[in-house]
Amino acid sequence: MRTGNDSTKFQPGDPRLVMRWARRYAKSRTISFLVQWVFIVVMVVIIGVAANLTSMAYRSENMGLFSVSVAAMVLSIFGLTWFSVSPWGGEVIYRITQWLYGSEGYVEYTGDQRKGPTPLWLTALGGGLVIHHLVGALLVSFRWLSFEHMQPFSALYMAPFLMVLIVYQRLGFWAWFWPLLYAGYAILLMLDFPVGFRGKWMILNMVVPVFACGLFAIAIGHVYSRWALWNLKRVARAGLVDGPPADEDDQTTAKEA
Amino acid sequence: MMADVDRVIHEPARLRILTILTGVDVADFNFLLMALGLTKGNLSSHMDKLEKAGYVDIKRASTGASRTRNSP
Repeated sequence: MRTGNDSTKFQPGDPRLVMRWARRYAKSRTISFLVQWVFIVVMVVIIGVAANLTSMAYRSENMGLFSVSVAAMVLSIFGLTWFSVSPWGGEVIYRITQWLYGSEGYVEYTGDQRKGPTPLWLTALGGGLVIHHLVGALLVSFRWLSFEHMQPFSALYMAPFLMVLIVYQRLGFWAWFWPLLYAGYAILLMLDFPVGFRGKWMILNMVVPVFACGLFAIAIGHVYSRWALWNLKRVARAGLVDGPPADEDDQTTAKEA
Repeated sequence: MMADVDRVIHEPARLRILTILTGVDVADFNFLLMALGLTKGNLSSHMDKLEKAGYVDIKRASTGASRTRNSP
C-alpha cells in the first residue's frame, strides 16, 4: 500500500493517517534509549571515579586502594562491554522498557531492510570510532593536540557516525539533535565561546556534551511520542464502536456519520 | 471467495488493525488494544480472523503476550 511521503497532506479520515501516526509513534519511543543511557552513564561514572581513585592511590602509594580501584575499573569496563554485546543486555532493556511503557505495549519500526545481523561496514565504522578516539588520546598525551580541542576532534568522527546510525536505524527526527548539538558544541569551543569547562573540569568537555546532547534528544523524542500517540488514538478510534466480542457475525461496526 | 476476503478485511476494526500494522514492523496485543480502544475479547477475535485469513502473523509468547506483524 502506498503510504505517501511523510509530509504528504491527507484528508481527515484517510487511513494513511493511521499508518503515519503509528509509524511516527514507533519511531519516537525513546524509553529504551533512556534505559541504555542510564546504564552507560552509571558505568562511565564508575569507571571515571575508579580511574580517579587509581590515580590518587598510585600517587599516595596506597596499594590496597590501588588494587580495589583497578579491579572496579576493569569490572566496570567488562560489565559495560558485556551488557552492550550480550543477548541478556538486550533482554534486560526490553523488559525494563516494557515495564516503563506499561499499557502502551510494544511496537517497532525499523524498515524492511534493517533485519538480520549488523552489517560489516557498520561494525567497521564503530571500530573506527574507537580508533579515532584512541588516536585523539595519543595526540593529547604527546601534546600534539590540546585537551580543550579533544571534543572538537571527537566531533569530527562522532557527529557523522551518529548521523549514519540514525539513517540506518531509521530513527525519528529527535535523534538528529544528538549529532547536531554535539557538532554545534564543538564549533562553539573552536570559536572560543565561553561554553567549555576549564581547569581540572576540562574532562567534562568530553563527557557532558555527549551525554547531555543524548539526553536532550531522548527527551524530545519522548515528548513527541506523546503527541504521536494522542494523534494515533484519535485517528484510529474515529468512528469505531467496540461491540461485544465478534463471532461469525461481525459486531464491531462503524458509527453512522 | 472474494466476498469472504472482503468480509474479513472490510470490517472497520480489522481494517484499522491492518492499517496500524502496515505502518510498523511489529506490534504486540497491548499496543493494538491501547491504540484502538477495543475490549480484549473483541480484539482477540478480530486477530484470530485476520490470522486465519493469512493477513497477519501472530507469534504467541510464553508469558501470554503476543506480537503481530502483517503477513508478507
